[in-house]
Amino acid sequence: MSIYILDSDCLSIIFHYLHFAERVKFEAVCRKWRGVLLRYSINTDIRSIDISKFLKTANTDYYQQDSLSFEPTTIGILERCGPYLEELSLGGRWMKITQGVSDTIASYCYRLRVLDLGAVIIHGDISAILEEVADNLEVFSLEDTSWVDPNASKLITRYFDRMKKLRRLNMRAQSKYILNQLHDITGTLQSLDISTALREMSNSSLLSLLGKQQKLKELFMYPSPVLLNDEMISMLVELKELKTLRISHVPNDNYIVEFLGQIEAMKELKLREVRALTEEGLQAILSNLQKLKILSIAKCQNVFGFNALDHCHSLVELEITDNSNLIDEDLFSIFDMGLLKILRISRCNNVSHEAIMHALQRNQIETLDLTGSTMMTDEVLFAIASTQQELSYLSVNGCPKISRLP
Amino acid sequence: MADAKKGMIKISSSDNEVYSVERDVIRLSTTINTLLQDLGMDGDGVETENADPIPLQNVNSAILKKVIGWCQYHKDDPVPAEDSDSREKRTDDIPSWDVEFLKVDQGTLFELILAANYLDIKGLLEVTCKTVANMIRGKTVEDIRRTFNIKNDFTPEEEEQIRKENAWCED
Repeated sequence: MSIYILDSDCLSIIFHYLHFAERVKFEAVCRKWRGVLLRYSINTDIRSIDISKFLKTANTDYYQQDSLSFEPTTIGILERCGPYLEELSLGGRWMKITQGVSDTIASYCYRLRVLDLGAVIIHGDISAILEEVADNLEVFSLEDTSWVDPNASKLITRYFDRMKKLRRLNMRAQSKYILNQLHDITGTLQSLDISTALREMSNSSLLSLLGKQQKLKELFMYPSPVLLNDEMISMLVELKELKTLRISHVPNDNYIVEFLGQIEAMKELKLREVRALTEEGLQAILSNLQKLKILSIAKCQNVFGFNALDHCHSLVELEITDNSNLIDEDLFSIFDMGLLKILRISRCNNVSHEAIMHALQRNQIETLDLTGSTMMTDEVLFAIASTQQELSYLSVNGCPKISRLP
Repeated sequence: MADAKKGMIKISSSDNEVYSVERDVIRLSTTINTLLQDLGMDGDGVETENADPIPLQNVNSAILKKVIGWCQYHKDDPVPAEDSDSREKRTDDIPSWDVEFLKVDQGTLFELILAANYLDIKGLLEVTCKTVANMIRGKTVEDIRRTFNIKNDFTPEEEEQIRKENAWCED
C-alpha cells in the first residue's frame, strides 16, 4: 500500500497543513500532486502575503537593478492565492514596482483590506489596483514610497472619496499634491501619518483634514508638513480620541505647543526639534497629561529645565536626547515608579551614572540606550549584569568612560 | 451483561468481520452517526443488538480494529469546531497517545486516512494528515519521491518548464 491510494480529497487535506512556499515546491513531485495543488483551491486559506519574503537576498541595492523584474514572482504568487488575499505587502525593500506588477495585483486581488506599498519605487501608476480595492481598503500605506512619474502618483487622489472604510493611512513623504487632497477621505481614520520634510502642505488643507477626522487616535507629523499655528493647535486639541501624537520641527517664537496639554487622553507624545518647547511649556503639557505612558523629547534645545518630569507617574517609555539641561534629580521620580521598559538618554551630558544606577535598581528595562552619555562608567554595566533580566537591547556607544562589556 | 450490551452497534468490515461497538464510541464517525439517525436507531431504548451489522465496504478488519481503538480512546473528546476556514495549521500539537498510536507503516497510515475520510472521523483525519504533513515538511522534491516511492511522471520538458515557472520559489 503506497501513497497512491490516497485520493485528491485526502491529499488536499494533507497539503492544507503545509506552508504556501512548500505547496508551490511540491507541485513538481508528480502529476497527481500538481493537479491537486493547482486545482483543489488549496490556497483559499492564505489571507496575508508579503511578496518580499520570496525574494532571494536582503540587499536593497540588488532590487533596484534595471534587469531585475518581480513580475514572475508576483504572478506566481498571486495567481495561486491573490483572489483570497485580504492583506498584501511588498515588504518595503525598495523594489521596483513595474506597471506589470501593479496590473497583476489589480487582476488577482480584489478582496484586499490591507495594502502596504511602503518603501518601494513605483514605475507607472496604481489606479488599476485602487479601482478594485479602494472601497474595501482599511489600511493603506505609501510610507516613503517614491514615484518615477509624479503625475502618476497624483492619480491616487481620485480614489480618496471612495475609501470609506479606511482606518489607517500612511502618506509619509508623499507630495503636497497628495497631502492637499487628503481631506476628500471621509472621517473614518484612526491613524494618519503625514510626515514630510518639505513643509508644503497648505494650511487650509490641513485644517479641513483635521476638522473631518474626529476619530483620530494616532497622528504623525514627524516632521510636520506645515508650520503649525494657533488655529491648527486648537484643532488638535479638539481631537478627543487622540492618544498618540508625534510632532517634529516646530520653530521658535511660538508658544502654542503648551496647549498640547489639553489633549488629556494622550498616551504617547513624541516631540522632536520642537524649538517652541520651553521649560514652562513642558510644565504646562506634562502637568495635564496624567495618562501619558510614552514620552520623547528629542533635540528640543530650548528646554532649559526638566522639573516637569515629576508629573509623569505612568511612563513605560522615556526618551530624552541632546539636552545638557537634563540632570539626575529630574529623573528620580520617574525611576521610582518602577514601570520603565524603554529608556533612552542620549547625549545628555549632565546625567550621571548615579541616575542610571537608580533606574536599574527599580526597573526591569528591555531597551536601554545611553549613546553619547559621557558620564557613564563601568559601574553601570556591572549593575546591568546583576539587576536586569529582561534587557534585549543595550547601546553604550560613545560613552568614553566605559571600558569593558560584561 | 444485558445492560452492557445496550446501545451497542454492529458494524462489519469489507472482509466480513463483525464488530460490536458502543454507540458513544462509533458516534465519532459522522458517517455512521448520520446513518443511525436516518434509520431511527439513535434513540435510547432502541433495540440495535439484533439488527443487521452496518456494512463498511471500504474498510478492512485490520484498519477497522485500529479505527475502533482510536475512537474508544477519544470518545469523550470535546467536539471540534466546524469552522474549517480558520483551522489551525500547526502540526506539532499531535497528542502523545496519538503519536504512539500512529507509529505504523506508511501503508497503514494511508489506509487510516482513507478510512477516517470515508467514516468522517474528524479528529482521526486531522492527526493522520498532520502526521503525513510532518513527514513531507522540509523535504526536497527528490526526497519526497524517495520517501513515498512516487514515480516522477513528468517528461523532461515538462519538468524543465515547471522548474522555470516556479524558479521564484526555490529555496
